[in-house]
Amino acid sequence: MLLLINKTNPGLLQRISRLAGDEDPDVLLVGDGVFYGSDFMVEKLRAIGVEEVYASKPCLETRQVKLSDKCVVVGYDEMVPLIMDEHEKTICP
Amino acid sequence: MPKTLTIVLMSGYQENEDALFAVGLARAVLKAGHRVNMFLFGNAVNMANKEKPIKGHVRISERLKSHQDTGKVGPELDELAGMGAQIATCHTNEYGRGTEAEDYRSGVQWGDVGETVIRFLLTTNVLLSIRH
Repeated sequence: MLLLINKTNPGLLQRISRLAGDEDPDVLLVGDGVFYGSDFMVEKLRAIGVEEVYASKPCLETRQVKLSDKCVVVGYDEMVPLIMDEHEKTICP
Repeated sequence: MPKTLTIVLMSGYQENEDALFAVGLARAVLKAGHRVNMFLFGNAVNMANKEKPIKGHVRISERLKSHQDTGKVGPELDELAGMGAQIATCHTNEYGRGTEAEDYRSGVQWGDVGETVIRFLLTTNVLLSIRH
């Protein structure tokens, strides 16, 4: 499962846990969601079972975010296989 | 093997970056050889119509106008349609916003939940609902 995070939200971690259930989801950060790419937030995401954290390159370029080196930066071309092939479903919580 | 992505977009271009993201993703998906359907729902229906010149005095500053215009993705919807995307809008949501029966952009078709979305879903491999 790939979770598309496009906003910041105080209840996000709880929502991810609820949606993922027994799965360990991957996360794709876009828009203001890239603010979750900090070291602090990536640790929080990992703590609730998130495996890979991807962050949108075009969205990062317009914001001053100090990105964790545990995030994988992806452009639109690299998002295509993530969404079309590598995950059974993509959900925007 | 080509797959079909259906994007249900629920935000207009002025509210957040969802429309920009949807257009960027759709273009990349089409370039990769897949198919794209896009259904404009909620405030996203405001992108379905041809733009009309504003009548009367425009008070917006050039700087703010430039900022507002950055996110206008209407022409990009036409471009996506030219690349093969099927883009439709929800007429009920348009009615609620007073825009039903306005002229559509060349790339956008009239649509509804009962038939258009079902038609899209029947051929969909990947469904992505983008909301805030």
